Amino acid sequence: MSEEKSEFRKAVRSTETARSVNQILMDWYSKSLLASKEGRPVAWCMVGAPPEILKVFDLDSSWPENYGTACAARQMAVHYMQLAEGEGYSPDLCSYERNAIGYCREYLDIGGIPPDAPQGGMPWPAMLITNSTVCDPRSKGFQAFNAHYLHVPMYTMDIQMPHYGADMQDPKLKAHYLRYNIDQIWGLIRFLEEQTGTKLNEAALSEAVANSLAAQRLMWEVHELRKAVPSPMPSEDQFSCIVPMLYMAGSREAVDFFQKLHDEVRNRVENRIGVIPEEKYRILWVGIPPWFNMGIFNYLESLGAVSAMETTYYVHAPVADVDLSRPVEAIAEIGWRKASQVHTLGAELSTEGLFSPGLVLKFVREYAIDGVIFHRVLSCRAISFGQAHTARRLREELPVPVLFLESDMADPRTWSDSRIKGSISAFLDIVDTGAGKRA
Amino acid sequence: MALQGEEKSAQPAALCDNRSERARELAAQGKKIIGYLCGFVPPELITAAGMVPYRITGVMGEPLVEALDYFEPNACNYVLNCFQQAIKGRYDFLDGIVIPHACDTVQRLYGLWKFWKPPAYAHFLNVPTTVSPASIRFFREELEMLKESLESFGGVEITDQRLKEALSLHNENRRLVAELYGMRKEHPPALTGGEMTRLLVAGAGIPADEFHSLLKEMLRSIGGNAGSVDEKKARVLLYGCVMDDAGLVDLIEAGGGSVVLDDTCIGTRSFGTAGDAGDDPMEALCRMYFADFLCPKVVRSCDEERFEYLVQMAREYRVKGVIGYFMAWCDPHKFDQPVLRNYLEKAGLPFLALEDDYTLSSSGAMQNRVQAFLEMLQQKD
Ligand code: SF4
Ligand code: SF4
Ligand code: SF4
Repeated sequence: MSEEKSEFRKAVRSTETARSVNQILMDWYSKSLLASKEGRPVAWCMVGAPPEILKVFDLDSSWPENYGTACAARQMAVHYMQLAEGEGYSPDLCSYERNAIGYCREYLDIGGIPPDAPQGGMPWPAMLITNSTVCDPRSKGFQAFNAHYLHVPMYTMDIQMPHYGADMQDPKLKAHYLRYNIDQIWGLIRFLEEQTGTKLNEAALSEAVANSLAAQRLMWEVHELRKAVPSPMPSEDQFSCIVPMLYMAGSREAVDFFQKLHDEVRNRVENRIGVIPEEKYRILWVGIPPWFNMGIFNYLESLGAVSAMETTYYVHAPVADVDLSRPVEAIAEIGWRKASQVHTLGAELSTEGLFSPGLVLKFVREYAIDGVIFHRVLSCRAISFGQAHTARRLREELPVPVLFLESDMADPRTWSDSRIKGSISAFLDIVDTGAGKRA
Repeated sequence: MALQGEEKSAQPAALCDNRSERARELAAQGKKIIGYLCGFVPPELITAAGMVPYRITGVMGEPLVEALDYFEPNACNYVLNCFQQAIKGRYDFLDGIVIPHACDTVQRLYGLWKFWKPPAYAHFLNVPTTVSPASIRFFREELEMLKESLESFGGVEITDQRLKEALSLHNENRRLVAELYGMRKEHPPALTGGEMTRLLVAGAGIPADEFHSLLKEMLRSIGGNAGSVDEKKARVLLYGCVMDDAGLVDLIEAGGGSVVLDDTCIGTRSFGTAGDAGDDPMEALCRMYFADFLCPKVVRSCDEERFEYLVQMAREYRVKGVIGYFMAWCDPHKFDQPVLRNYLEKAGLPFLALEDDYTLSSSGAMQNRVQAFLEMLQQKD
């Protein structure tokens, strides 16, 4: 398909706060590169490793998922992925992982950070921290590239949750899960104590968890503000804002960031400042975005369609009354309560409850959605799974036009401008016939 | 050479081809049939509850149509195929299902099956991702919960005595299967890979005591007979996820190979570790179905030595090469593939990776690759 240069590579964000993420990210990478240069350890982590704990250990980190998005946005991912494929890693496999594998290959080939590596590159890690939430590639990918290239200490934090239909109020079930999850979090702490030679400061962890909750509350309030018509903040902005949420949770900076975002979005709502002057259609985006072509959202806007909300990276309603004096237990408890929220919505798709069809139905109703775009990312089953099921449920319970866009989060070889434009155009024609009903 | 195979029991092949027939008969007689898949679910618990464990399989080669209305196409076609059978009502004879947290796709199957085709009984068996004292304890508690739920569904108490009896019956089957495997250490092997696969697939769909008779019958029919396989055939080990159809094994054997050993579920992975019930049968199950059970979804270590067991198995069975069967869109096995290849090749074991979508539809091309690989193996020494 496309070696052609896509017209959707660049995206323009609506909010100033989302635009500031670029700088935050650059600083983040510089900081870990500096740490490595000064001989301090850097960990590579997969999302799900609690940043609050890393922060308390003052450990710098790089996140191959984020690096995948960065390489995709700078059109370097194909290069790395081809190197991984040359090593025998199937093009079916998570493109973030393939990107990191190719990066490792090149790093070893040239004996250091590739000079053209986006964001200055990821410093070679002293350790790997992964986990089992959401998908197999998160643990399997790290296992593979550690066995193949890195050979560094690794910890896999295994957090488990019950599946569809479980009674989340059952104290016995809760005790069974929390005992295990708490053990796993302590396992990470012991691992870090060993790797860094420092002891856990529990008071500092309590503070980090409090910061994390504060940032999540603000983020959730932003989600709520986005119900406004016209939409004050589109999905492409939210996708930038995951950076402080996923990687910097626990820090004061993240709280400040979300406070700023909150103020900006509230101001836009109060002054009815929309993403576009005339909002014709409101879209719900389901799935990871195509990081290499984020301009697709601006293209939708040029046709009068705003992606007003998205399901991926959703922060569920804030949890209150958690005893923060025992921060490890608090982290496990917060995870349980969030999972319980998803179970209430309907968690027929997975144990993690990351993706709930009930959430899609709820958003369609609450965000006055005219059409749903499911982005079927080929190399990530975990987040694409359940889209067909959800579309079926929508069809039966809440008729709303649905579009499946098939591509990937980091592999532009799956994309074709003409195909995507054709699908969007046909979809918006259908949306148009129903859009009036919203008003 | 006379084919002793002709004298061997034809029953397994017939049972394998029509594998739900016996379970349907038993269901009609009022027996409760519990479907399960993957190697994490101990059929012993189902047997001990007085019910019949039935291994859920797909229909290899059947095009995916109905399943795609519920499931994404970029997912393991084996799992989708199993689900399609459920949607088409072909598993309506099951009273219940037990699905474990194996890979992502199997995990998803639980929710979708329960949502769209709710059986009278559905249980999710959670499985940790790493092996540690805490995860072993967690799995044991999961087994306890499975036991309790089977008890309440079946209206029976699974006493230690019942469980020990079930364990010893299943262990006895394991021992007989091991005996049959052992007969393939010799060259030529006493039974073909195709025969072995059909026997195991058949056995996974009938009560343990009936499987026991089937195994005995097979052993009796082989007797002291020498192998039936052409001596020149290259001995290979077949590696993969599930092998619930003999099609690929037949293809390899028709192409000049002899599948004398496998590392697949339903095959050695499910029969390799005979548990000693001791005083604590739940502990034995925990060991067999989790702590010692090698599914790639569980991350054990990052050392490539984690594949040493395969090299040992290959040596013991004097295997010349390994054929890996990889399902398209399979994360756990495909992430292992390059490291596995490197490790095997370093140990002097050539490795051929085949990719498929549970149809063998590219069998022409596959056949050519298999044949070329086997020829290379034959010339190796
Ligand atoms: S959730 Fe998807 S994109 Fe993220 S690591 Fe897993 S497979 Fe990759
Ligand atoms: S190897 Fe495959 S069939 Fe066996 S337990 Fe793992 S996922 Fe299930
Ligand atoms: S082939 Fe892979 S994806 Fe399919 S069931 Fe087995 S482990 Fe899961």
